[in-house]
Amino acid sequence: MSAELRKKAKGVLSETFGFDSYREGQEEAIMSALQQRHSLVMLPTGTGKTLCYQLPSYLLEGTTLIISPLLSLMEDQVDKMKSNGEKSVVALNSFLSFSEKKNILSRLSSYKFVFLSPEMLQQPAVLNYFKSLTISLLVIDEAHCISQWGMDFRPDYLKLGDIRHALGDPLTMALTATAVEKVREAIISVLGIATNLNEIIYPVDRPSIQLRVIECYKNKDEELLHAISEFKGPGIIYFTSKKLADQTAEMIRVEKNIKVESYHSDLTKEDKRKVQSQFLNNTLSIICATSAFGMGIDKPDIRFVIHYHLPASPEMYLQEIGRCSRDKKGGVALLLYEKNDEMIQKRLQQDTLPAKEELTFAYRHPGKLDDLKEDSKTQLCRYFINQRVPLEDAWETIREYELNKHYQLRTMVNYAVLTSCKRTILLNYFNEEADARRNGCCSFCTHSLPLPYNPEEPELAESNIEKIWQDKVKLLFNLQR
Amino acid sequence: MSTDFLLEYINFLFDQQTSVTPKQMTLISSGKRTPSNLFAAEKNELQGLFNSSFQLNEPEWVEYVNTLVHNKSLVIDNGNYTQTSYGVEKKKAFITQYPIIKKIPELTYSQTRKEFWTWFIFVNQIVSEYSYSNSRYIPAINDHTKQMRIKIWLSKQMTGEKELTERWSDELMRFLEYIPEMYRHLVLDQLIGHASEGLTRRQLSQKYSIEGSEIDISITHLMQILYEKHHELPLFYSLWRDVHDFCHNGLSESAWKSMKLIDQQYSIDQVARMRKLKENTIKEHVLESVLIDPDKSVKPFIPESVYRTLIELFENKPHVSYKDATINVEFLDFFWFRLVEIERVRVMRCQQN
Repeated sequence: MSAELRKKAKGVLSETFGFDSYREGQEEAIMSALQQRHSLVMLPTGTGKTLCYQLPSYLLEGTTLIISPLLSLMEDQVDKMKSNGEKSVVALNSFLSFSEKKNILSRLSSYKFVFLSPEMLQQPAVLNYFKSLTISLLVIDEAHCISQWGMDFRPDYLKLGDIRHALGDPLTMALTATAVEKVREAIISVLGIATNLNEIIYPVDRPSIQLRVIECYKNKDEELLHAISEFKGPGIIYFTSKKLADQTAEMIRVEKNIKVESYHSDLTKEDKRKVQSQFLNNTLSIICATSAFGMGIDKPDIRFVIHYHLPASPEMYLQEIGRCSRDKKGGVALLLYEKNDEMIQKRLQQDTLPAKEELTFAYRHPGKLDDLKEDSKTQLCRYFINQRVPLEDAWETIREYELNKHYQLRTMVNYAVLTSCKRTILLNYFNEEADARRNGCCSFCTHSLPLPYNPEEPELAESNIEKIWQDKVKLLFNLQR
Repeated sequence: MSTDFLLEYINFLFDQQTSVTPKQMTLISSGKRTPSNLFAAEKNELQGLFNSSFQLNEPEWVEYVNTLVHNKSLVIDNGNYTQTSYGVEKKKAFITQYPIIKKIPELTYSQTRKEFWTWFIFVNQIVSEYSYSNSRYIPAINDHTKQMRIKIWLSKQMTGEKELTERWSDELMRFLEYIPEMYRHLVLDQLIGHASEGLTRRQLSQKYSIEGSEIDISITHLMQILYEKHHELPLFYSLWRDVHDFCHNGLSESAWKSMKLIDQQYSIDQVARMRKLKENTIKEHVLESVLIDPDKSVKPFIPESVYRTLIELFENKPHVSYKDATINVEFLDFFWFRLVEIERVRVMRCQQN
C-alpha cells in the first residue's frame, strides 16, 4: 500500500511539478496525508512547504482548503499556482465583490484548491457552504499564528479548532517554518489533531548561512555600504521603517551606482509586482524592504540578508534570513546592531497590545469598539469579549504574551551583544544543537570570515543610451523582422 | 521637463468658460457622479479634470490656484477663479511644449481611459508571452472578473496566436508612431511581457526626470489619443469598447441599470417602481446619463410644450435662473430645467467654436 502510494506520489512529482526528487521533509509530509494521518510540518524556510499539500491533493478525492493569514501571501500563492498551470484554484477573500464571492461559493466543488482567511470561515453563511463540500485536506498555513507564544499571534486562528470540528474533523496538515515546542503543542491542542498525528519536525538551522553581527557606533550606513561592497548580491536589506528603506535605497544608488529598489506597503500593487519580478530576473541586485517583502519569494540565489534594525524575535529573524542561500551555495546573514536598537521594537509592541485601561474600557463599552480603528488592539479586545473570557483572565493572557515578546526580543539582543557563538544562541532558543558547518559559523567563532560563496558583481545602473523603440517592440513580441 | 508641470497643467485645464472654486475642482477631480458635480464639470469645460489621474485635497487646490493667481495666470472673482489673457498665453506655450496634451471634450471615457490602460498592459503581456510560447507567467491583473472578460475578448478575436501577435504588435507600432519619441519609450517602459518586467513609477520618474503626476497625466492623454485614432487601430478599439462596457458606459452601476430600463421604453416612474428607488433618484440617473453622453438627446425626458418654452426662454435670456423660469412655466420640474440647461451649454459651446 505504502510503496504503491509512494510510487504514485513520485509520478505526480515528476509529471506535474517537474522534479526528480523531494527536498527534506516533503516526502514524509506527503505520505502522511496520503495515509490519512494528520500532520504538523515544521520545515525551515525555503524547503518548499507548499508542495507538501499540493502534491497529495492530486491523489486525494475532494477539495483542499488552505487557511492563510495574509491576503497578499494568498494572492501570491494563487498566482503562482495558476502560472504553473493549475487553473482550479481560487482565493476567497475580502478583495472580492459580493457577487464574485457568491459565484465562487456556489461552485466550490469545482475547485481543487481553495485559499481563504480564518476570518472568512467564521462567517456562518460561508462555513455552511464548506460543510457540504468534500474536503480532502485542511491545510493551516503559518500555523504558529494559533499560539500566543508564536511570532504573529492571530486571535482568529484560535477559532480554527471549532471550525475544523464544524467541518467534520477533516484530514489536517499544519505548516510552519519556525515554532518552539510550546507553540507546536498549542497548534496540536487548538486544532484537536493529537490522535493519528505525524509530527514532521526539521531543525531550523540553515548550515549554509553564515551569521554575522556588527556592533555599530553611529556608523550603520558606512558599515552597510562596506558590507554591500563585500557581499555583492543579490541581497535583501530589512528595515522597520518604510522611510528609511526608501532613503537607504537612494543612498546605495548614489554611492554605489547599483540597481536597488525599496519595497514596502506604500508601493502600488503593480510596482510591488515589478520590483519582485525585476529582483527574480536579476535586473535588480538589492531590495531595501520592510517585512512586507519575502513571503512567497522563491529565489534560490539570494546571497545575503542584512538587518538594519533588530528584528522582534528569533522566529522572525530565522524566517527572514532563511530567504538567502536556498540553493545551499552559501549566504550571509548580517545584523547591524547599535546600542538601544531594541527600543524601536519595544515601541512597536506597545502599539500592538491594549493597556489595562484600554482593555477595561472595551469590556465596559464593547459597542464602542466598532467606532475604533480596526487594529490589533481592537481585534484582541473583541476576541476576548466575544469568547466571554473574564477580564482578569484576558489581562493575564495579554501580560503573558507581552512577557513572551520581551523574552523574544531579549534573545535577539543577546544574539547581538553576547560574546558567544551566534548560532548557538539562536538554536538554544529553539532547543536545538548546532550541526557541523562549512566556511565559518559566525562572526564570534571566526574573526575574519571568508565569504561562503563566490561573489558576482552586482547589476550596475544603466547608462543613458536608450534602445531604439522599434527594437523594444520586436523584443517584446519576439519579432524577427 | 518643467518642474512646474502640474501647475502649468492646471492652468491648461482652464478655459474661457471656466469659473470655479477650489472646492469644485476637488469634487470634479474626485470623479463624484452627482448631477451637480457633473454639470459643474460640463459647464466649466473641465471634462478633462473629471475623475482625474492625480488627486489633490482642497487645501492643495487652494495652494495651486493661488500660485497661479500670484503669477497672474488666474484671477479671483467673487471667490471663483478664472483665467487671464496672460494665463491663455501660458496655456498656448504649454500646449506647444507638450504636444500630446489636448483638451478632453467629454466626460464619457474618464473611467474607461484609466481601466483601459491596465487592460492594455495585461493584453500586451498575454500577447508577448504568446509570442514566446510561454503560458507560465504571473498575470498583470489578478482580478478574476477582469481576467474572464479579457479571456472572452481574446476568444472573440477568432484568430490564432501568431496572427494576434502580428495584429497587436502592428497596432502598437502604429500607435507609437503617432506620438513623440519620448512618449514611445514612456509607454514601452511600462509594458510588461516576456523578459520585460516594466519600470516602476520611481524608476520612470528617475529615467525621465519627471514627477509621478506627469506620468499619470501623460498616460491619460496618450489613452485619449489612442481612442481618437480608433479608426486606424481596430483591434485596440475593440478592446476599448469592451472596457467601456465593463465601465458601465461611463456611468455609475446604478445609473447604468436604470438607463438600461429607460432604453427599453419604460418611463421614469415605472423604472423607479421596478428598481424600488425614488423617482428623483431615477431622474438623477437620467441627468448623469445625459451629462456623461453628449450625444444623448434630452427631448424624450421633457414634455414637448415645456421644452419649447424653455428653449425660447434661454434664447431670450441665456443665463436665466430656475427661479425666473418658474414664472414662465407653471410647475416646472427642476429636472426639465437642468436638462435644457445642459443642452444650451453644449449648443452655445458649438456656436462659439
